[in-house]
Amino acid sequence: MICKDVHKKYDLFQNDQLSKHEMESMEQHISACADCKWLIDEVNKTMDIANNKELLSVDPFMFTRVQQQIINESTKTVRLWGKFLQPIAASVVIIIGLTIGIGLGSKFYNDSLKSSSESREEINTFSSEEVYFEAIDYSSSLEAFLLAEE
Amino acid sequence: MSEQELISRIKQGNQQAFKQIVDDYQSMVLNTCFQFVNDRDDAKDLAQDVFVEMYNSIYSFRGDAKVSTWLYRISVNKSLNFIKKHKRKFLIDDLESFFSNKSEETYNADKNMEDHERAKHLYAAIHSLSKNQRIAFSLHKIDGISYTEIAEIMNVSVSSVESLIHRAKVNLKKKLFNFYKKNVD
Ligand SMILES: [Zn+2]
Repeated sequence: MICKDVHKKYDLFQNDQLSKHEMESMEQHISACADCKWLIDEVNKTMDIANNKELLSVDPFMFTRVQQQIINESTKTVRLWGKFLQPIAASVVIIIGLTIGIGLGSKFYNDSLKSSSESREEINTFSSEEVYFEAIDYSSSLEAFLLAEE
Repeated sequence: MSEQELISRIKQGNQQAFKQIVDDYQSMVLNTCFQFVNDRDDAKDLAQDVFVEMYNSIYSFRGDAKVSTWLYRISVNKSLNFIKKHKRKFLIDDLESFFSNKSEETYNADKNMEDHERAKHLYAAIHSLSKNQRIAFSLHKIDGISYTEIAEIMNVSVSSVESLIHRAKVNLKKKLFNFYKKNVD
């Protein structure tokens, strides 16, 4: 076996998929070849790093930091509310208000037009009647006056 | 006090109960994030984010779930998002280590330096695994976590977890072998 064979068969080798004979000749080459030995050792040493990974020690201020972040984020939301959302909300309220206002206004305007013309008619009717009655009264009283004069 | 009691107290705004959860799970959360991002400071910041998210989403926490599974899931998601966001940074590290030839300096360096280099190569290799292999392998390397727990966190069967971890190991060795082979050639 030569280095190239080791390179080619490394996958099967590490996966225990070589025949007993191939396995033996591969191990023989590796123990005799410095380059191949270095390669395989290096892979194993690197894989060992994952097994011997140090544990990070806890931070005694973690809870305080978490609490602070929660407060910061909620004030940020409030600030965001103040900076962007509040003016937007205010404009929306104004627009809605204007729309409702215009809608109601035109309704009231129409209504009041209708009602004012109605009442004008009423007034006219009433006043004409009044005038009429007054006129009658007047004429009758004038008549009475004239008659009384006579 | 049981975990469920602690959770319902947090829902009522009890800070002492929240502190208890942070204290109990800090090591687990911190080291889970570290396993994924491989940087102390980033892991610390992420752990902080994990607990903030836990607090903010406490009302969506189902009573029948385990707090640890929930926190693992948040930790993995936060870490993966972090990696995605900082992909450029990782890619640059990756390329640097790929193109840097083994100089005399490295040969003469002490064991710590060699291990530091190896850790970088390992991390780059883990990073190039498929997402599920990466998650399964990284969780598997966390102290004390069982295949059943990994299956719960990833929402897959235990046999899938076994297969993912096995394939991850095989692929990692293959990637590292090819990487080191280039340095020998
Ligand atoms: Zn050889």
